[in-house]
Amino acid sequence: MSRVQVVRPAGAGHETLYVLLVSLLILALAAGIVALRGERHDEVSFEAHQLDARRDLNAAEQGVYADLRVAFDEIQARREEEPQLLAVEVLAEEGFPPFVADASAASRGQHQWQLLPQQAYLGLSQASTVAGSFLLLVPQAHDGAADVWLQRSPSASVPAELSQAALIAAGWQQIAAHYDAGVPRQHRH
Amino acid sequence: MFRATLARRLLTVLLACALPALALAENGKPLRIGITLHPYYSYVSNIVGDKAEVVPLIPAGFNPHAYEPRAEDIKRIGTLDVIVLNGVGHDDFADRMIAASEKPNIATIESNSNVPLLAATGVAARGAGKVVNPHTFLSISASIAQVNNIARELGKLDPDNAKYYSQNARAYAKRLRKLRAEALAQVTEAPGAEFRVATIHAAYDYLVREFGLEVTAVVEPAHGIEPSPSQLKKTIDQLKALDVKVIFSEMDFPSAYVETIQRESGVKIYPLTHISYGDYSKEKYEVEMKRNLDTVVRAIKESQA
Repeated sequence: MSRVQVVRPAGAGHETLYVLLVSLLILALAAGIVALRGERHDEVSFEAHQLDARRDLNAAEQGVYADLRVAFDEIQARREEEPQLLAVEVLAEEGFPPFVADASAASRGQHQWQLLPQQAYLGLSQASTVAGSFLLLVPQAHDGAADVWLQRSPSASVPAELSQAALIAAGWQQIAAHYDAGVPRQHRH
Repeated sequence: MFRATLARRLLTVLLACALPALALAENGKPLRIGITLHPYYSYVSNIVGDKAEVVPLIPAGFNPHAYEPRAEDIKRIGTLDVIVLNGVGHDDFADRMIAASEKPNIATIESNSNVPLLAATGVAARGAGKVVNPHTFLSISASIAQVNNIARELGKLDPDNAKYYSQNARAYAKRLRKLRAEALAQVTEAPGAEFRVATIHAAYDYLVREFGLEVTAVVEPAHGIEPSPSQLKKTIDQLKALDVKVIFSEMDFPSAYVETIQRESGVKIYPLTHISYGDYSKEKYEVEMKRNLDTVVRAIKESQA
């Protein structure tokens, strides 16, 4: 006793239409989501008087710059105890690169460091083809950020004035560093 | 779109404000601090002393380059107060783990947030030029910058011990500086521009920069992947053409092809470690970095002999 089931031919025409419609809907949805939630490609822009610490500095300059930032941390920490800036000799004695004269300093331009009266450390390069001269401006506040300038001209000398305009006029360039998180994490920043 | 960005920023700010309070919710209890890589275990252990607990996210014995998060490791994040990250590409697995954990909004410390980064070299540099070399821990300077940074951020989460953390950080930084000074003191004559260096793994740019050197070539196409015979031939020709004097290889990945390079190119090979294997310990970073620095010094001295 079997019941006869009538199977009608599928409406192939309709099916195709539905599939097309659904795929269009999916595409539209996806496009909408991408448009709404897509990440903008933030390019860090530098000003004309700035150098990118990552791409515009050579190996020797990158080394000196990284060391200067570390020494700056210590200089700032000491200011909490004593407002006077640490002397170059003290920094060298305590082994703070780039102030200490070692093999690394020798291969990075042998900078001659001095503490300027206007709260700044100046390192004049003895080999400007290897690395430029550095200027570290120490902010008034002891929790401020380091401001480092570079001059590649062999005739770099003690700047008369430390204002931004005066430094730019004298041929100094400000070093700018920016932070890029690991690739899969960049959307969080 | 602008509004969405603004809302996201606001949310981030709100979260950032709320997180320190969350971390100290269990008042009186020492912080439990998660870390992702071996050097960070050493950094944080030296900063916190016995005032906090340092917990590796990955158990010892796993290779962070090929690590896939396991359920029990993700579960452990629920017991932590804060996680210290490399954040520039060496521990990207941590993000997925945190997102899947019981505490997806746990406080994190970006160790490298104010460290001058270098661009990635070799094959890793593909990626719109935004990819950075994540091995900042292989430089003493960049390590000290990270230690200072971590100590500062931990001090914000645990203000009672902030002073203690910063004192420890400075004492640790002093020891690290001494390591570097001792190594450099052995180099009586600085290497000149003719001292060209190649590396097997694109990790050591930060390290050789401490000596004012630059990596001229990177042999390995990607980490842990051996070059094919034709790539190997190209590499050997390239090493000869560039007049490379020294190759720094990978201590943890001894490979037959490295010997082939040495035999065919005649360039001397010195093994370095990038401190990603074995047990976690407080001293590990100093011990292994000393060995790395000594190896670089030996390479410089032997090239001058």
